[in-house]
Amino acid sequence: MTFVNNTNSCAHCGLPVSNAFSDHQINSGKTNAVTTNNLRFSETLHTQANTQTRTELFCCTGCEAVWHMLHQCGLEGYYKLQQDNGFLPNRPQIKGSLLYLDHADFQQRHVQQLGNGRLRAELRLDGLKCGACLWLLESLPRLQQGLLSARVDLGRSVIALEWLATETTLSAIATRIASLGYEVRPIGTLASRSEWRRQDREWLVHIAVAGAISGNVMAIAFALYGAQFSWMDDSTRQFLQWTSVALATVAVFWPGKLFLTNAFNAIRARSPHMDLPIALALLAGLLGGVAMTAANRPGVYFESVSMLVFLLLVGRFVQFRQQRSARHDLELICALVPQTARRVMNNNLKSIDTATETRPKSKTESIEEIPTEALRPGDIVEISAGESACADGTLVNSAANFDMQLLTGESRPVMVQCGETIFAGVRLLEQHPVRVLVTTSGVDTRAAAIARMVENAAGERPRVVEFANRIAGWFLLAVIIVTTITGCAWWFIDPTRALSIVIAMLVVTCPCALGLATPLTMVAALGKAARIGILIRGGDVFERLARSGTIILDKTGTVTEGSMRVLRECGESTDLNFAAALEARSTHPIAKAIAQHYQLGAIVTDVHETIGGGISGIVNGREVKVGNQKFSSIHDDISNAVVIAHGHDMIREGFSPVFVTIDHVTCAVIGVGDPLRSDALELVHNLANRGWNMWMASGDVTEIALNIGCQLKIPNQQVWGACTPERKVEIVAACRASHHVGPIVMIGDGVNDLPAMAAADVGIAVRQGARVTLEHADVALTGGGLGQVVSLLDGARRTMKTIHVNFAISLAYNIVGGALAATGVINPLIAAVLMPLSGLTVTAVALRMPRFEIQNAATIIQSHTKKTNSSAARSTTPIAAKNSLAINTSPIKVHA
Amino acid sequence: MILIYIAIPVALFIAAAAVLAFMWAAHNDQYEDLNTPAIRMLLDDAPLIHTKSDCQKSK
Repeated sequence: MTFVNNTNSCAHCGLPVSNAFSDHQINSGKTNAVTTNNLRFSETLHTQANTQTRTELFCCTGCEAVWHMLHQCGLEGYYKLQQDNGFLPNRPQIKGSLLYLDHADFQQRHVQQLGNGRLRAELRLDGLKCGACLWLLESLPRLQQGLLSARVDLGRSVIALEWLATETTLSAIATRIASLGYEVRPIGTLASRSEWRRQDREWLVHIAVAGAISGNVMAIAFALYGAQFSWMDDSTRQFLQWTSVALATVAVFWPGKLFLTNAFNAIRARSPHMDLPIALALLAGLLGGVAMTAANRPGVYFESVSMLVFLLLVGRFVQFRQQRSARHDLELICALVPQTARRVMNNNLKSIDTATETRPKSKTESIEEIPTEALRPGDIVEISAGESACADGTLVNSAANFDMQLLTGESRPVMVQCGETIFAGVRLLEQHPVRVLVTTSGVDTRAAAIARMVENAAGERPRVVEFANRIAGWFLLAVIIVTTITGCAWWFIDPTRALSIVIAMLVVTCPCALGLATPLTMVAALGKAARIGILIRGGDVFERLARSGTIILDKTGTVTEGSMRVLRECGESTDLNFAAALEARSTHPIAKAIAQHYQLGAIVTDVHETIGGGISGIVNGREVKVGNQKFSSIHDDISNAVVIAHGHDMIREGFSPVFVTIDHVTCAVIGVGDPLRSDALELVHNLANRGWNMWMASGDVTEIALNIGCQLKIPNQQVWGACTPERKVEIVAACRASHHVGPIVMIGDGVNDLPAMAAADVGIAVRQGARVTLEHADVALTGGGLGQVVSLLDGARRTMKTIHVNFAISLAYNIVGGALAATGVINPLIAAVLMPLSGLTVTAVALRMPRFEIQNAATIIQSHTKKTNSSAARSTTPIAAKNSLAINTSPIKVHA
Repeated sequence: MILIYIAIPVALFIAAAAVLAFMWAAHNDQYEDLNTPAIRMLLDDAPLIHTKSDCQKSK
């Protein structure tokens, strides 16, 4: 059985099994085999199922039937797959209480009153996948009394709920949803969402108007082209032209207003803007056309003008949406900081001294759950074991270890003394709750500051003016000027031909192909990248990555695995196993690493944990102590010099030594550290070969950062340790100031990297990172391994090449076609046939050229073969570890 | 070519009607979610309560 079943969840779907059903299954003594009798499965299945020793629980007979069917067909690998891919649908994940959803503060900002006691709210759900989720969630009104409707938006992962205030509460509904296995988070406030919706509508309406106008103007323009080959009376032509004037004026001054205002502002601020040539071209086209029409002369540019407005607007809209979705700082804060706080009530809050007394809880105390938003400075909150702090504050009752990875990226737990400050978002690693005197909460916390920093940095990042935008305006302007000159020239040479030549020129130089080239190529490239697990937020990433520049790597979780592992050891295996058995009782990350690495099973009693020291207890009747050097020597043990010496070696190598003392003899030491990822060295090597300059910024202490940098062959002066999120942003800025060649790319995994990722030209998040990081990065690498970074960079370069090729094709086409038309070689009819041809060429090139797959397949195969040959790439860690182990164990045996 | 004086205004009128219809749709959240309805359509046994409240809501 590959499927690790939760105690009370369905073996097939993972849904919680109602007690009635499971009791029924257990009480009636039904094992799988017995129940399947009812379902009349074949004999082979029965024998197979009989070999299962445990009783599987099912939420319904449907799931049971499917479970047996899969096993019967030998398809039980399905359950394994589900687990490996991490989408086992339902591990009920009620993280803390959802009562904050009912708090007045929250309701005021997030819940809409519909009248008749009906309320409406939207919540973000994590874990939405497909139609089945949709069905499940939209069937909720059947399960939940008082819930009127539930509408899911799969694209945005949002559920809109409508309920009766008198019959149920939002928290009850949310708890129900959470019990189905979806994580519930609040999304933007009502005000911000209605503003977004308004902006979206405005864009859509503008695009619709521009599209409708350009279509109609184009149709009229074709009629005017046709007039060249047959006769059209003056009044009809006049009518058609004046209609075009009217339509194009609307297009330029309503949907095209955006370009005009931008250009006007640029003139006022005396700084060039890419909209300036666009606005000039639009106005020149419009005024030129009006002048021609007023003079009762043919030759108008309205179709180009209105088409340009439409195409550019579509591009801007896509860009706008991407930028906005990247800037939702509220959700970021929500993800960092728990939404509920456990406030200690009726406590004597007048002085901190009384609170610091570690007296037993008096009866006057009670703990109340409130939304984090309602916390005020001076409140005392309790943080339960394993929870994150909800506000910044000072620790008041006891010292404790905290996991600060979120804020600093530091992989090791940090010891915080009583009276010292902790920040919202850090996770408590102790098994007992601690109390914190709140100093700041909500928007003033460090976590909120980081979220704001992400937003600010993203706003200040130098904009890449897209190639297409740079060219389009100038191109149109050039076409209009050249055509006018040619027309005038022909007027003097041969007035009868002037008109048809001008029209042929305008037709052949239609900017369609030019407009299509960039978006088509980018869409094709985005799709191809997504297919291999590289999710790219916007096309501008390709432009930014086209040249080699500087890559700043985060350490923890990016080039290293981000979790503690046993990498060095010295001592007898029995002693080490004893230590592991004892460490299994602790929640400390180092203890967990040790417990995972060795065999457990020894009987442990009398466990006593010392914060910031270690753990002691009786293991199989022997007194065992496991902890740091201070902890081991406090008790006047007969210290073993060889072991201590090895411990010092480990410190020098950047590992944390853990000493094992059995019956007062220090007999073993275990080196715990964060190992390098198997493909990190290869990545750095490949990138350096491609001309990228490698830097590293780590939240960990400088020695460890330097050690890893050394292993990765990054020069010491390009490695920074002990970086706060602010410091990382400064490093990006310093990098920008000092280098100025090529883009700055930040690769990271954690929230502490986010500000730097936003400040850099491109922020790349690797898979192991927190979900919020993936959402806020420009690029998320969801496939395994760092090899994808190389695929991305190569793919980006190839995409830009394709775009340039496409531009060259369409420009060459326009220049050659324009020249031929200007000299009177081709007439308007041939030009009209040639026009779509250029568009087709560009489309074909765009869809064929940007390759991500082949390159990536090669990289994956490469990295896989390297992985299977294993230690070639990792040589630095495991082999060295084994060597040192071999050396280390021999002297120890003498002593033990 | 007298016809053109009628045909083009009619064509533009139809286009304007289409744009107005689009604006109406945009203001009624028809473009809010472009993925889910395609799937929702395939879920056949929507409960009665659910469909009722949907009808009410779509006002």
